[in-house]
Amino acid sequence: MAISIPQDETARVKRAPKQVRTLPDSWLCGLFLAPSGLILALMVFYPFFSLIYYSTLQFSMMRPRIEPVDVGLGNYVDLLSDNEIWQRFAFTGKFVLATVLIQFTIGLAVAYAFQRNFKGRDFLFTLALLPMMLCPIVVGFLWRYMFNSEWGVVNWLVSLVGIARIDWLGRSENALWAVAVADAWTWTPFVILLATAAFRGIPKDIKESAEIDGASPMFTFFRVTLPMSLPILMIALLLRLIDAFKQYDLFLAMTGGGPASETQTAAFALGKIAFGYFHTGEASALAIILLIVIMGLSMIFVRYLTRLSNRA
Amino acid sequence: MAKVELDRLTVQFGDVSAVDGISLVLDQGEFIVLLGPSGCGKTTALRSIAGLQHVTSGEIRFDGKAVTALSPAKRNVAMVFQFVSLYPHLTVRQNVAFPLRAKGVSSHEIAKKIDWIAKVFTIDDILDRYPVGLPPGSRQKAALARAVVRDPDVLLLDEPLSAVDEQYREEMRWELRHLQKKLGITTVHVTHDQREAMSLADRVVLMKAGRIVQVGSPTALFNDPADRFAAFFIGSPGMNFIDLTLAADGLHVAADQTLRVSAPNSVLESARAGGLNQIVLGIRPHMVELTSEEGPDLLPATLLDAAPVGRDLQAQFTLAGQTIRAVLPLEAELRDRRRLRLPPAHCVFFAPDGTRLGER
Repeated sequence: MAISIPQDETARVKRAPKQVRTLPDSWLCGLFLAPSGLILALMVFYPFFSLIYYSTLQFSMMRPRIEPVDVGLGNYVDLLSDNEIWQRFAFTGKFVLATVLIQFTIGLAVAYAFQRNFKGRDFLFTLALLPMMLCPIVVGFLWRYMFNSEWGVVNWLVSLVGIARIDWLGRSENALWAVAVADAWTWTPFVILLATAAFRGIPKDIKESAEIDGASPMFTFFRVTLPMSLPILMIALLLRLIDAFKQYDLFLAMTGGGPASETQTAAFALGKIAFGYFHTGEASALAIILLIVIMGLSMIFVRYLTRLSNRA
Repeated sequence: MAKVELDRLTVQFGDVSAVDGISLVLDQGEFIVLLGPSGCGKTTALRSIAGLQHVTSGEIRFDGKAVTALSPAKRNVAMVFQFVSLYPHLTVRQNVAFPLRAKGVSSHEIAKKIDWIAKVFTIDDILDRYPVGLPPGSRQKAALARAVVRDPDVLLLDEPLSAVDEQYREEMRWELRHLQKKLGITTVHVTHDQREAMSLADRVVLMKAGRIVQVGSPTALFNDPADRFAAFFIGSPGMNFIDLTLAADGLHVAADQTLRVSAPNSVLESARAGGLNQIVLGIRPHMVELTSEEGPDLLPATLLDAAPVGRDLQAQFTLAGQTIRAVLPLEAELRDRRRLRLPPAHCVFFAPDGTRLGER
C-alpha cells in the first residue's frame, strides 16, 4: 500500500530544520541508551548483586517462611574449609587440563594439515566442525554408550588389541579421561576453526621468507606460525578453559557425578548444593567463588594479550 | 657467490606465459636489475630463481649445477620482499639470527655473525627492537642484514625500496650498491622504477611481456635502446617520438614537407628496404637544443609551455602538431630562440612497429 504524505506535511518538513528544539546531546544519548541500560540492570546487575547478598545468608529457597540468618562470610568459611569442595576443584582442574590438552594437540595438528591444498579439503573441514553443533546432553549419551563397559564400541576396540575390558565410567580416574575425550570431541572443532583462521592470517611473504631462510617445516611451525598465531590461540584457550571449567552436562549424562561424588566438577557440586539440597546461601557463595576463579583466569589472559598486542 | 644461468626459462600460469623462454647469464658478484612494467614477468623470474615458483620448462643453474628441482632452502639463496617480511614477533636481533638458527649454527657463532652484520648495515642501535616501531628504511636494512648474514650464493631483491619514503630511497640506493660491491654477492634486483635500475645495476635486463627486450649497462640502455619500448621506458622525462615521412627526396616531419630532418644513410636504406614511408625519430629531451640560428635541419617550433624544474628549464614545443619536450639550461632565452636542433648523433630511428632502424 502506498503511503501518501499530505502536501502541507512535506512543506513543513522542508522548512523545519532550524526551529526544531531538541534536548542536549548528553540527554539524548542517555535517552537512547536507557532501554538497554534498564534491561542490562535487570538481567545482570540485579541477579548479580542479589547473589552476593544471598551468599551472606543462611537460607533455603524451598523454605521461604523460615527467616534467613545473616551469617556474614560464614558460608565462604564453611566452603573453603570443606575438604570435599577442594577435591571438587582439584578434579575440575585435572579435567580442564586433560580436555584442553587433547583439544589443542589435535586441534592444532588438524588445522596445520588443513593448511595444505588437497582434494576434498573443504568437505572434510565442514565435516570436522559437525560435533560442535550437537547439543551437549546428546554428546553425553552418545559417548556414554560408546564407553559402556559391557557392549560399548570403545571396549570392543580395546579387546581387539587384546587388553581386558576397562570400566571406563565406573572408576573416577578412567571417567576423567572418558569425559575429557567426549568434551574434546565436541570442542576440538572450535580450536581447529580458530587455529585455521590464525594460520591463514600469517602473510605469505613471511612464510616464504622462512622457507628461503632454510627453516624446516617443523622449525617454521614452532618459531613462526605458532608465535604469530598466539593472540588468536590465546583467546581460543581462554574460551576453552572457561567452558571446560564450567562443564556440567557431560558429567550429568555420562557418570551422574559418581561413583559417589568422585566425578563431580565444581559446577556439578554447585548444581547439587543449589538444586539438590537447596542450600541457597551456600550455593550462592560457591557460585561467587567459581566466578572469582574464572575472572582471575581471564584477567591473567587479558593482561598477557595486552602485552602481546603492545608488541605487535 | 655464484654464477647464475637461466636457460630458456618458461613459467606458465594456465595459458599465459608469465616468463617466456628467457636465457641469461649472471656473472659472479654481478648486480643485475630486472626492469619492466608490472606484469612483465620480472617478479616471476625472480621467484623462479628463489625456488618459490614452479618452473614450467627450462633450467636454472648455480655455478653450472642445476637447481631447478631444489627447494628454496637447498639453494642457499636469500630474498628480501617488497613489503617488509621481518618476523613481527621477533626482535631485529632474533630476526637476523633466524636463518642461522634454522641451520643449527652455534649460539657463539651466531653472536659473532650478528656483531659483524650489525656493523656492516649500521643497525647496532635497533638490534633489540621489534620491527613494528621501526621506520621502513631501518626495517628493510634489517631484512637485508637477515638475508646476507648466512653468506647466500645469490641475493634476490623484490622491489625492496618501494616501501621506503622517497627522500630516504635515494640514500638507501647508494647504500645498497655500496654494500653489494663490498660483500660481492651475485644480486638480482627487481624493480619497475627505471631510475632505481639505472643507479644500481651493473647490467639492466629490460623485460616486456615475459621476454627480454634488452640486456646491457645502464648507459647502453640509455644511449642505445634496442627498440621503441626500451627507448620509451628508460629516461626521465621520457624520450620524444616524432613521426616522420620518408619521401623520395628525404625525410621530413609528418604533415609538413618544409620541416626537413636528416638521418644516417643506413636508416634511410633499411627503411626503404622495408618499404616504409613512415618512420619515427626518437630523441631525449636533454639532447634537444634551442637556437636562434637559421639553417637546413633547424626546425621552427612553437613554444607551448615552460617551467623551471630545479636546475633545468623544462619546455614543451609543438612542431606541425606534434609535441616535443626539451630540457634546457635554466638561463635559456625562450623569447627569441624558436628553432630546435636535433643533433644527429643523439637521434635514433624506429619503424612504426617499434623496431630500431639503422646500425646500432
